[in-house]
Amino acid sequence: MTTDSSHDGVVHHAPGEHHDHDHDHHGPAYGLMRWITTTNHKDIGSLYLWFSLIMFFIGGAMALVIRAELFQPGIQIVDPMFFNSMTTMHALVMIFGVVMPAFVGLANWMIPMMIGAPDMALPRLNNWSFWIMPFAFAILLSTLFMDSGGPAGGWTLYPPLSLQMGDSFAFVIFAIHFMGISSVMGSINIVATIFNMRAPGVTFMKMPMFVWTWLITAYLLIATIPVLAGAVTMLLTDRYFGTSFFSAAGGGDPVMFQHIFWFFGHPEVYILILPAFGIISSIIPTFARKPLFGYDSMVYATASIAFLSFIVWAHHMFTTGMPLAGSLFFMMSTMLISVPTGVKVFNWVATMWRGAMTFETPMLFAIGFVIMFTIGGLSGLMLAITPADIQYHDTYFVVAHFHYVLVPGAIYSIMAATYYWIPKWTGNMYDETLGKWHFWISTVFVNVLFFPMHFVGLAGMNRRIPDYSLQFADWNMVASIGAFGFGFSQLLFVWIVIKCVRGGKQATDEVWEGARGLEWTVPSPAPYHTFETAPDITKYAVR
Amino acid sequence: MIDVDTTADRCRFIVQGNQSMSWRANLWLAASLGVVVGGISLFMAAHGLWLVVPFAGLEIVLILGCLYLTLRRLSRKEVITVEGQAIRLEWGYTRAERQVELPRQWSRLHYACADSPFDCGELSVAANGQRYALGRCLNKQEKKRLHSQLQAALQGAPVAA
Repeated sequence: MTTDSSHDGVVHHAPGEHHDHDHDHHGPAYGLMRWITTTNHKDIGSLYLWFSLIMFFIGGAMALVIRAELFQPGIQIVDPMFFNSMTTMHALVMIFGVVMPAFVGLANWMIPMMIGAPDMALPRLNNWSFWIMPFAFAILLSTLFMDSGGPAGGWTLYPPLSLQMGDSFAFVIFAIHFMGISSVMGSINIVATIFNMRAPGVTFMKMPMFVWTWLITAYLLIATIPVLAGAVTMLLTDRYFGTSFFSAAGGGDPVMFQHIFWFFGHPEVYILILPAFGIISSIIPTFARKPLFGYDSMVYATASIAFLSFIVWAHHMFTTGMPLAGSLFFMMSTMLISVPTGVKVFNWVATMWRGAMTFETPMLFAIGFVIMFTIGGLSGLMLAITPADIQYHDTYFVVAHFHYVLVPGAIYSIMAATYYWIPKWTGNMYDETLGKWHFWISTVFVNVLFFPMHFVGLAGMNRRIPDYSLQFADWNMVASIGAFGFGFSQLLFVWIVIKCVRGGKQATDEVWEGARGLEWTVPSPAPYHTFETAPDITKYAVR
Repeated sequence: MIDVDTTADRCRFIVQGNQSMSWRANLWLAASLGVVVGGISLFMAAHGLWLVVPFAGLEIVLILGCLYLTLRRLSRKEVITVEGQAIRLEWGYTRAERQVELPRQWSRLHYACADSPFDCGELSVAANGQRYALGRCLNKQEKKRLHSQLQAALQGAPVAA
């Protein structure tokens, strides 16, 4: 006797009986609606990655405006207000529009495949998380065309300066709220996926490092985004509703904003780099043909960095003045971060040690990351020392430091990840020769761009200024040449990606000889649906 | 995941998809996130920055909602009961939301699997011209096991755990 014939399992039907389609095995829809309505983790990952690439060129164009203006002393190309808008928008676009979406895109593509899950835990939420982003950035970028101009007080939005900007201020705050909502939804989705959808046998200590680093990053985002949301809302109420959270005239404290901002902002720095650690920890073992050295210590080091990131925020504020005990605490805690970071660098080097190394493009970018991120880390250590920081503060030395961490750091890791996984995404091998050219041209120019900033910074050149003293002219000219060289060399990256998407040598399922992990057990290109039933992991190495 | 519950005159299989963490562990996860987010927001509020609190509250509600939805979706069960002259198939979360009863003597099990590491096979039961897929959330090994156990149950033989 049949009481129901639902879609739970009807394969054949009696004549005239209601028929439900077996909808679990369909492929992608066609046309624009595929991308608007998709809930597939691979589609959404691709959307994030393309969005990030577009924003990379928008943010990069802003950087070139900055460097063109700084090519020579004096005001040549843009007026100072617009210059300040460019520095502010460049930072907001690169942080929230490039690095974070790129890592979220990589997480969307790779995490379900790495843990043997069919998709993200909350696919519709995933779709929302992405589609909020273009609207957020449309609002943010539209402020450049408003009468009052875009935000010009720096990405940190310090009051009272930020409160003096025009009516586009409210739009900027609105855009930041949208970005925050997107980040929180994405993070909760990642946490829910990693905790609940691992294939049987994929225990926490068997998860690939990329999954671990993203889990910890998601925790950081969940912990800090409400702080950012509260901070910018308080700025909004100070501006429009007569409150005085940060207004000294009404009994508030502008320095308090710096505390609350950097309580969010410093973990944000690690949000921008922890997934990069995961990527590098995946790539180096593949091309060294050895398992990752010290996996457990890598996990604990990542967790330690995340914990320490909450107790170092005031190292951004040494010059505001603070009690000796306070500055000592923040100096020591900041220096302490170099210990787990050193563990990571040591483990990467130890993984390469006596490995059967080959130097394909992903490995070149990974090695470039290790070397140049370490340069950025060391200058960070210099900045941690309170009396030294008082000298370096707000100089180009700081600009050199964080750009070394973010460009040959985070951006290089994203490029390494793209070269590493694009054969799995497209089923085609990228052009290895062009990839190597891309690496070498980028590496030469990125150092021409950022290394001289150490010199001008130590010599006393302030950041966020459109004009400067004559003694800084030569190194600024060199840096600007580096900027244009680096910027235009990224067009090569776009060409390589497009060429690979359109065709190329067929990639094998394993793609790389030394690759380990569940993502390499599926065909290339990865089918639209993977691991609809949990894989048997006894046959494969998960990490 | 397959749970088998056998008595002298009844054999019941409870099939559930992969769920790598229990409800209780998820509660701990939500609690840990709540403590961190709540603690930070209260710390901020204590310093006069109370506008962090509503955002933290909204986020905690979102976390709880998302974890609940995830777990609810993963806890969908398929119960196959072989009892007397009938096979009863039930689907639902905490109770049977849909059910089908098939005559035992006319029911036949079918298992097909391509020789590919990515094909998880298809197990189904057919009777009276209708066929129902079984254990679609299971992997190849689990489907094979369910097939042999169900075969034994239909023949009245003892079911190996």
